[in-house]
Amino acid sequence: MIKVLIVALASMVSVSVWSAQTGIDWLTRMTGSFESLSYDGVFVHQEAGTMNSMRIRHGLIGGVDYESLEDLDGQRIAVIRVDDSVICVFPEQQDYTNGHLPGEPFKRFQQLDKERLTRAYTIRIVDESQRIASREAVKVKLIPKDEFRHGHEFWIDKANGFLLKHDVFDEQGQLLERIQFTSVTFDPDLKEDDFTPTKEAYIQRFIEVEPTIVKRQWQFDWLPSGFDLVWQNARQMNDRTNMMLLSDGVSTVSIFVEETQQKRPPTFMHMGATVAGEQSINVDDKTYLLTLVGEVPTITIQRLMAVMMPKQTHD
Amino acid sequence: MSKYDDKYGPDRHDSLSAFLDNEASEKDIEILLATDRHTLARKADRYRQIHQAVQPDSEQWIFDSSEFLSQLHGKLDAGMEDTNVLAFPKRHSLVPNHASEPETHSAPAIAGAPVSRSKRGWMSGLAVAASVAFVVVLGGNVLLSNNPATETPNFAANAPEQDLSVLAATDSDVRIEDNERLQNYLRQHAQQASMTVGQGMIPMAKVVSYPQGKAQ
Repeated sequence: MIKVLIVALASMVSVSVWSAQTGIDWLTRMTGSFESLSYDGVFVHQEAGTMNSMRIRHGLIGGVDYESLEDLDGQRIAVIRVDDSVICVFPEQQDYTNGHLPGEPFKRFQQLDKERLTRAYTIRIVDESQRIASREAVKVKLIPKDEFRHGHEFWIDKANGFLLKHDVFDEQGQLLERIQFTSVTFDPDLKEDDFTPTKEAYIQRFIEVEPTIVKRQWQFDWLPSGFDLVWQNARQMNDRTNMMLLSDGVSTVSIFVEETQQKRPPTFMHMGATVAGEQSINVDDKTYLLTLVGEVPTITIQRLMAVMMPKQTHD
Repeated sequence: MSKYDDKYGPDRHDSLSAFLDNEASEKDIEILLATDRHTLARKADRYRQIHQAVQPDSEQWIFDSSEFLSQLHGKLDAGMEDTNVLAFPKRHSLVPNHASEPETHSAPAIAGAPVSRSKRGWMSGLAVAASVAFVVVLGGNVLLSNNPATETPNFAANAPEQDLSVLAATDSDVRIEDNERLQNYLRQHAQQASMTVGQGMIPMAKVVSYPQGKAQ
């Protein structure tokens, strides 16, 4: 009888601790799960009428971290990471074009910035009894606090925090983009061979190089609440292009600046949740092309382009 | 002559020649509009001199670059009234070899409200080319196909906004150049997103799906 009481009490405590988890706790757990778990799954990526299935695998084999992402529908191209070394595998050499992947690994995920996230979104657990890919999931909704970002819904595995489904919505509640696992196992029997390209495949290796950090020459007069520079300095991509990165913790905006000879009016393009904008601006006797890419509404890109200016020297 | 002129010079000459002979296509006009204005004025002046030498009694109608450009804009707008274009092109219109195909797409299946083509008179050819390129990068596989089975009706339509660029057939080399640049930016963006938002490699999905951006 005492045993029964103890078990009942323990389960009550367990349930109360479980239900005490907030949406931000689930998001934090989700962020860590991609690095800590071993998994082998297939997910579908939907965007503006397109649909593509991908296989993603991750595991620690002999103390070495392996990860791969493989296109199952298209050109059978895969990206494989072995610790900090990234290779890209193409079925044919002719499929390769220069500059397919940048030199940095995917490993260094940043910690979730709770404070920044709560400034930008209202975060709610809306359903704790969802089922995705045969897994029990909790649904967490991120409602944007302004018009400068999209809404998000995350379905997170109750057992381990893994992201099973992610929807992105526009301001009118229309679905822009979806990632959804159709099957996933967290006990995969992964071997080195699973991350070894076939001999026939064309392989492009990317060795990690420390990014060239350069002084940031540009500043923003305004940023949407919650957005901040991920790096205080800029990254030099090549001789003439620098990159900056903004994020609110869920959405990111990349800013590319290069000198150009061509004047270009503001131009905006979108596809699903992704918007790109470009515009040339004159600074003294030079013309620069600004290109912004991000999973944000067009208005955000427009505003950011409008408030970019050369950084003052006294900063 | 700049490297750019070396690369695109012959096309411009042909387009300029066609324009002066009153035989310019829409593509010719857009190529000319995208041309550096000083270069264009210089070449137009050279043509005028040749034209005068060959036909000394003919009318001289190219006076300076600004007037020449206004004529170009006028021609572009005059020929485009009441014509609708897609916010995103059909797949075949992205193929560089087909760059000269006329743009007479019917109402879009995927894109939303059409945009009057006359609005694009202010846009440079290069800016338009960039929009084409971005579509190649992001929509190369399925978006531009006509297979209704791949469409997902519940998704938001890609309704073009007021400033959303519309399409034009432009210099194919320029399109490829812009395409490569935008592909590179998109990859960089996706990679950085994968390190920032805590979803592993998932943000890379669209890049692996559409890695080449090559026209098919």
